[in-house]
Amino acid sequence: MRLPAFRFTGPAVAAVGLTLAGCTGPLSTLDTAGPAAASIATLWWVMLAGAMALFALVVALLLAAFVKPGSGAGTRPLLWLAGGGLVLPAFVLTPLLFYALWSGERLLAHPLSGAIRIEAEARQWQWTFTYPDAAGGPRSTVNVLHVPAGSPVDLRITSADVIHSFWVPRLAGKIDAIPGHTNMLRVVAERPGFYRGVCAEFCGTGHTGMEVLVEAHPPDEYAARLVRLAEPVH
Amino acid sequence: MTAPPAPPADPIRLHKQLDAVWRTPAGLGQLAAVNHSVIGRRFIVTALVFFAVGGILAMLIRAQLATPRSAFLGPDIYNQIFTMHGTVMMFLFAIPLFEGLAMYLLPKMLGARDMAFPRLSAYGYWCYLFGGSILLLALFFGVAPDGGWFMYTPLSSRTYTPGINADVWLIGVTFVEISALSAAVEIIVTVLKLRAPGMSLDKMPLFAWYMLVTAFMMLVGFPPLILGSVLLEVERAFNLPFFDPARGGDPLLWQHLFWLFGHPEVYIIFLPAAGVVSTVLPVLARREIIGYLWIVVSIVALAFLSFGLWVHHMFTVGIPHLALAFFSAASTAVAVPTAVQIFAWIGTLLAGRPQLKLPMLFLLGFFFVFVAGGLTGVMLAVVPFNWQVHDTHFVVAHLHYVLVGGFIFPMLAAAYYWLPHFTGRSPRHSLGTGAFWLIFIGFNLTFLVMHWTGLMGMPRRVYTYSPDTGWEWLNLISSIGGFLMAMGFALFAVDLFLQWRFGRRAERNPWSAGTLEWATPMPPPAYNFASLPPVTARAPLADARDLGTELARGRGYLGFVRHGWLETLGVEITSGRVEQVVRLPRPTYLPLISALLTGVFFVSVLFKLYALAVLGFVAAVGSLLLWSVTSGDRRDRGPLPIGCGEVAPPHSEAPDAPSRWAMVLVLVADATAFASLAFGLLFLWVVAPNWPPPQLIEPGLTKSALVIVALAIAAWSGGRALAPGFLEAPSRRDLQMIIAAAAQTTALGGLIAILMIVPDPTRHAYTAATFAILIYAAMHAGLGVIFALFGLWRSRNGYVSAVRSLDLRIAVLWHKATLGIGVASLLLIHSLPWAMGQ
Amino acid sequence: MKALSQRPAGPVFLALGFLIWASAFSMLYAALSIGCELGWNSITWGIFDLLRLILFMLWAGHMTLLAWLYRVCRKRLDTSGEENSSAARFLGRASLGATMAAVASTFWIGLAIPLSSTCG
Repeated sequence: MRLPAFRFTGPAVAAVGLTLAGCTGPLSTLDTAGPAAASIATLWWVMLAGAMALFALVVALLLAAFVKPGSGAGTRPLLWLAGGGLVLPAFVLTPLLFYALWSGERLLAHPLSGAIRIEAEARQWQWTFTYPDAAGGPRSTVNVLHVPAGSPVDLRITSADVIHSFWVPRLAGKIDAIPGHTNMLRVVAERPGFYRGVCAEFCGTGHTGMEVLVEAHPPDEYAARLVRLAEPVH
Repeated sequence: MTAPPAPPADPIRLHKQLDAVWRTPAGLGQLAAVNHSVIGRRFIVTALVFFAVGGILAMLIRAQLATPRSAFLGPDIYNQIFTMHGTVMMFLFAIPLFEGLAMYLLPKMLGARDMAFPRLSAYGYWCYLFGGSILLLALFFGVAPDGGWFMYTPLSSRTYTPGINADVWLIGVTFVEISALSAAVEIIVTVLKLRAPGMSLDKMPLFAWYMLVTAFMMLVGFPPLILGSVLLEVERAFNLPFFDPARGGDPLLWQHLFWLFGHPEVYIIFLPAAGVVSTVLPVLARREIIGYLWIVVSIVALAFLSFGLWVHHMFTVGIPHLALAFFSAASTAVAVPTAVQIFAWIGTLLAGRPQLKLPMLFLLGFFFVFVAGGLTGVMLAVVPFNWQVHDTHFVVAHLHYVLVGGFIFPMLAAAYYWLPHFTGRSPRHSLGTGAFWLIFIGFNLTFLVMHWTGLMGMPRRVYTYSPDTGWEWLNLISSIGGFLMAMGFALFAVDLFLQWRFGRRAERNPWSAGTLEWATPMPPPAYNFASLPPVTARAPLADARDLGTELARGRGYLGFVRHGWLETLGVEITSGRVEQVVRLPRPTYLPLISALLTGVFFVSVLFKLYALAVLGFVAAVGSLLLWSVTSGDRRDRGPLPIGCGEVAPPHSEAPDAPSRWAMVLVLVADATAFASLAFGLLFLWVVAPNWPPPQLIEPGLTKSALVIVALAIAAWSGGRALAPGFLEAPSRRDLQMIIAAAAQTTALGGLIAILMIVPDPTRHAYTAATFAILIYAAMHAGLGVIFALFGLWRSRNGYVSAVRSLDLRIAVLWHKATLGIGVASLLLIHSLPWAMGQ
Repeated sequence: MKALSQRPAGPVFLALGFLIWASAFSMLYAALSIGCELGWNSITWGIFDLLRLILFMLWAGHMTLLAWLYRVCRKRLDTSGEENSSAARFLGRASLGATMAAVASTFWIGLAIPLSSTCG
């Protein structure tokens, strides 16, 4: 049986996984709605398969030690020490590291012209978003982030007080909001809809309720939607 | 040189003579205990009490999270509970437990009578008890730390945690860390120097290698935390802005300092447990472990590599991309030395004839759980995946798999393996199997699904969640599992008690093991061995089944009591050749008194009573100096007979005495703390916002040159006191020490003069850090004065002679270190303004 | 050099290789942090840039040091023979092993230098 073409493997694996395990959920990293999250979800399934194989190997060896005692008495120690200790990890970790570096590179926000810029400021315990490029002057929202579906958005994130973290699991990984620093996260929502996010760095008694809602609009409606938002409070 | 006292005719008389000098007096005298078996047991029991506290806190967490929108606990209390759960488990349970086990086991395994510095063991225990009590009392009074066990700033700074909670953490943990550092110094010196004659490094039990490496990690890993805690406390109390970005500080500095400690910390916790596995597994597999040399190399590699991983806790803070790649690569690399050990153990099992006795059951639990945890750890090292699951319950699941799997299961195995040794009893019927299954099933139920909970998006440290997240069933299962696990631990505690009280008399060496601890009576007397064994192989008991009886008859070394002294042997590090006779202290209340005075200092700082704090500090230092009154000797003794026809000098007349090594190691920790401080200043300069500072500090070269010259003179004259022509002539050597004291005083004065020109340290992190560095150097000069004067006092009171120069040699080490720190500090302070001007 | 390779093995050699690794790691991370702040990654010649060049030289320098240490350890082991004690031979072999591990570790983190973007 020929294996399907590589570019189908990711979604195929994900679909199998999703159905098997019930991975849907409003904050699920495996119920993806953006390319970054999708790429990471595939990575997860591949790593899970590898981990399970290695785990099975260790369990099998341990079982053998008790079910067939002394079966390894004639094995040269070097097989375990060099084979298991050096060669096996090298064979697993080298492709893993290369794959990790490669996929990490693709996810990083390299300079991109045409990305929409939005500023995010976290404070105890809410998110304030400013849209500097809105037609008609800058606009601002609290706890709701308006983005156009299908287009990359570059979020410049900082904090006004303690460390928070911006995380919308279905779309992308997280980035910390640190006072005195500005970090960048590139977010793409593939389809219009609502996507929930949480603050992912403990920030005090209000940490639990500090949520964010991303509203992705059809691209042709986005500019008009922005204009109707409130102006930033100074 | 006198002949040794004639050996007593029978073992009972020898035992009585030894016991009379070595045992700890009953009643109030128990507070004066310095014996390693007593102190080791105390560490273990206290750690288990803290484990119960941490466990109850965990049950509260699971009760709260079992259902959505639970009204059981509000966020304020919940934040204290999860912070204390982590803090108690990491600082008050795990480290003290293996410290206690190491303290109890090492002298016996190495063939020695006690640890190298018994009073330091006692002092460390009291510091642990008092520091831990501060944290517990705070919990009781509702002011426990509530910023998470890693206390990120700015949340833990005064602005956002105005109450005493964060101070409790900073001060309590620092107090406890004194115990960790003192244990580290003591373990290293004991393993390197206090072994049985002939026990060369390659014949040492693997457990000793593991503890040696772990102790070095502690020595270098704790100072960054201690320094960071001091800086944060100073920021909270005196407003010096190390971590405040508005004034040139940076919250990321705290994270770097914390994780520089925090990552090695988890390997510090794992390695002793791996040492237990390497000890117990071969015995129960009835085969010598394969790959002794490979394991030694692996743990050295693990120790170093673990210091290069810390930023993997910070993958989401916005560091440069290549840095992400460095730390990702290093984090995957650490799997290799771990794998070598795992396969060495598997290979040993497969080559041997393993018995499924109770300790082995727990070891199998270790394999299952720890390997799973290690695999998720490799996943977390992959940066893109980390960006999704960082700060979620996936990490909580991972960390519990590696810590419970990698530490708790081996320690449970250790408990069942060595309990006959501690108690002298074996179980009649053991509840241990039931306890194992409850713990194993309960643990996996709790934490296996928790990986999924994290992937479903549940962040850490939330006190509740809404029903529409899809997390309810997962949390409920975790909570049920948690209660099962708690029942298992309770059953284990009951089983321990039953074995201790009602077990039958254990036979000698019930496991037919080869290491020396099984040659002592069970439970062991205070002196371990009536005479010390010559060692020629890795498993001394394997070829000499009746070694214990032989030693009890006084057939080994030091099979007598001389002048009522407590003696053990010191050896050359590599070869194990006898080098010296080490005299150890009798029970004394001094460690308790010093710990109480240290406690006065810490508690005064906590309650902002700074005058009292200064008094407490001075009194504590004074009390520590008092320890030396009973150390050393007022006469030259010359080589002493040690039995078996051999002689060796007393340690006060030996070139490589334990206390000199202790000073070297303390200076290593000191250098690490200073390096962390220097790193802090440089980090802030390069990375922190709001630089350059409004005003540069340029002390002028004269004062700095004066300081350096003074420090150099102190080091020079301190060394000159040891030179031929000086050492034997009391007045000439005393003069050198007076010069050293005067030079240190001058240096101190110069540093204070420089401090005076530093502008307000609360204005900017640059002034704050410069101020801190100068204070650091000044404290060293101040202690240099004390060392020089102390050496003078010792000299005038007959403790110093041509062959007894230990006090002076130790003081010179301090003077040289102070010179190094002085030069480095002033170089840094002078070059930074120049570099900023470029 | 002759003296170093003929003195009996001390435990210090067990740590030397990884001390060099630690130096490499610290210098690489420090140079990267300073270089990104000062913009060394923007000084380019074709596909090369100053930051990557400096990192490469730091890495290569440490690899050279490690290669020298490996040769020293090898020599000590080969010339030790039977006159040395079992402990000295053990330490000699362990030091060689630890040095090899340090070489591999330093090489491994060096792989990141060409494979990742530098600053962001």
